[in-house]
Amino acid sequence: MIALLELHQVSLGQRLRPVSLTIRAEERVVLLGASGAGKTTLLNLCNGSLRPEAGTIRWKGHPLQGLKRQQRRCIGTLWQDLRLIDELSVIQNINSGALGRHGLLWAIRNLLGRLEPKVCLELMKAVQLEPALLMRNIQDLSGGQRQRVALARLLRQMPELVLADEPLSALDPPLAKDVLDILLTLPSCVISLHRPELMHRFDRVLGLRNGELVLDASPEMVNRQVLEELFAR
Amino acid sequence: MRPALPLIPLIPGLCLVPMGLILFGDVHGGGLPLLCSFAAAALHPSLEPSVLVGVAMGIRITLVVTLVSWGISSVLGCLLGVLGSKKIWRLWAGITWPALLLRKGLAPLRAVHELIWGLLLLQILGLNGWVAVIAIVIPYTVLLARVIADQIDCQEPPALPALQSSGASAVSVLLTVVVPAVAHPVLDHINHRLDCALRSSLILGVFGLGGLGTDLMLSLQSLRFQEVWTGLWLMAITMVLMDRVLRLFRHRWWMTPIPLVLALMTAGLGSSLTLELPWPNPQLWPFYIIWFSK
Repeated sequence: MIALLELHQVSLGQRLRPVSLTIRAEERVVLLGASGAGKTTLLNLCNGSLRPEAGTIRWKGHPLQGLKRQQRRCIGTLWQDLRLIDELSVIQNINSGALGRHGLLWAIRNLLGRLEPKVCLELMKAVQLEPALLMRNIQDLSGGQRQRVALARLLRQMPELVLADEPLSALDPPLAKDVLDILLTLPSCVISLHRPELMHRFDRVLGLRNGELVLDASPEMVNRQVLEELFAR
Repeated sequence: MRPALPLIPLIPGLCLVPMGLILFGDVHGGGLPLLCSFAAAALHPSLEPSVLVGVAMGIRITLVVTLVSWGISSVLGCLLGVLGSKKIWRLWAGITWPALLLRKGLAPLRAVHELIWGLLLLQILGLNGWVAVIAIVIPYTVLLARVIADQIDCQEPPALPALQSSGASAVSVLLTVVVPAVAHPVLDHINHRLDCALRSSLILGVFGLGGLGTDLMLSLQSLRFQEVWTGLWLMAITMVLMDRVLRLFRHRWWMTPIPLVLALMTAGLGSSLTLELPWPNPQLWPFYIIWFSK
């Protein structure tokens, strides 16, 4: 399988000790660890929003910080705080995921009105959002609806690798299951979770403790004792 | 007994005591009849057709100066505001010094009041409507640019790094994330500046730059108080109407471009509305240089 993301001795002060790992195409990876273990830091380093103090990160062999726009849009992130644009409508937020593929005129048209509603409605259907919400302002939506808009925006981006930072933390169990189902249909993903009982749905488990990568194994190899050590304070 | 700390800054105010004593000592009732006739004229403004036509013409020039100066300063202010934002430059080119340089360069222009600009430009361009327009445009543009740059820089929309990391271009991110976030406060400020521009153009008129202000000044100097009050009442009606229109825009911010387009169209028609702008004669430039160097 092709290596998508390669981290070599990447560190960021006390937040993340030197980490080396490779994420391959068609690999579904779960990132486990207690709060403050460094999961968000690792994901933010992987999507380029944080720069490492030491080490190198490469996307398909190219340095991450020097990626062109077309390459950068191949990495999609589902942020823990969603990072939607409160002033815009659902359709405008979903379309903002496709800005990396389009130019300035398209961005202006998206700001001015309904742009490509059919595509957005299909995505809304995929994430189980009512079509009536298409033109609704983001501020008028519930937490669960906002989460699904963020997911639809991510799908609109059509990334090769998805990095999701605790995407299930604010969702009730049925909705969490739906969201995870959708995320696992994507070609490759790294998803940070607080719920080890879901790890059997992934190909690989990464475990962080106090900013250190202490676990890199297949789900079958991870037993109760390993998990207890991972989440121990 | 030592004064309490908050009272110390008020100590220089004590100099007002002897000044007040002198002023009250010089008070006399000589101007009282004039003051009474001025007050009485408020209830009996002149309704002569020639006066009404003259005042209407004055208000028309004041309104044209207001709209043109407001329209031009709004557009230029938005452009310079974007260029003066550190965040925009960081997003575009990863540097901030051009924004800082522009801000420093514009600061002196903002520090000079439109009245001073008016008097300076009057010496160069002579008496015409464009002097008032430019005198308002310079400080208003720079002030709006500063407000917009500050508004953009104080915003920290979480979606900004999100869209950047998804491969969107800097300009697209700016349009999609920053513009909606600053649109409301900026459009509110632009609306507010229309109100300010009306007052400024009236005041500039008082200093001889045309419009209703000039008419009011001339009528006041001739002690024709009824004519003064005709102008003041009509001006008050105009201001109330403008305030109503502005309130309408405040609730429908997306309508702001309508008066802006109207203002810019008025600017285009400015030459046909007695706002000819004769550029300084090149033969006189050496004279201007000597005059400025003094």
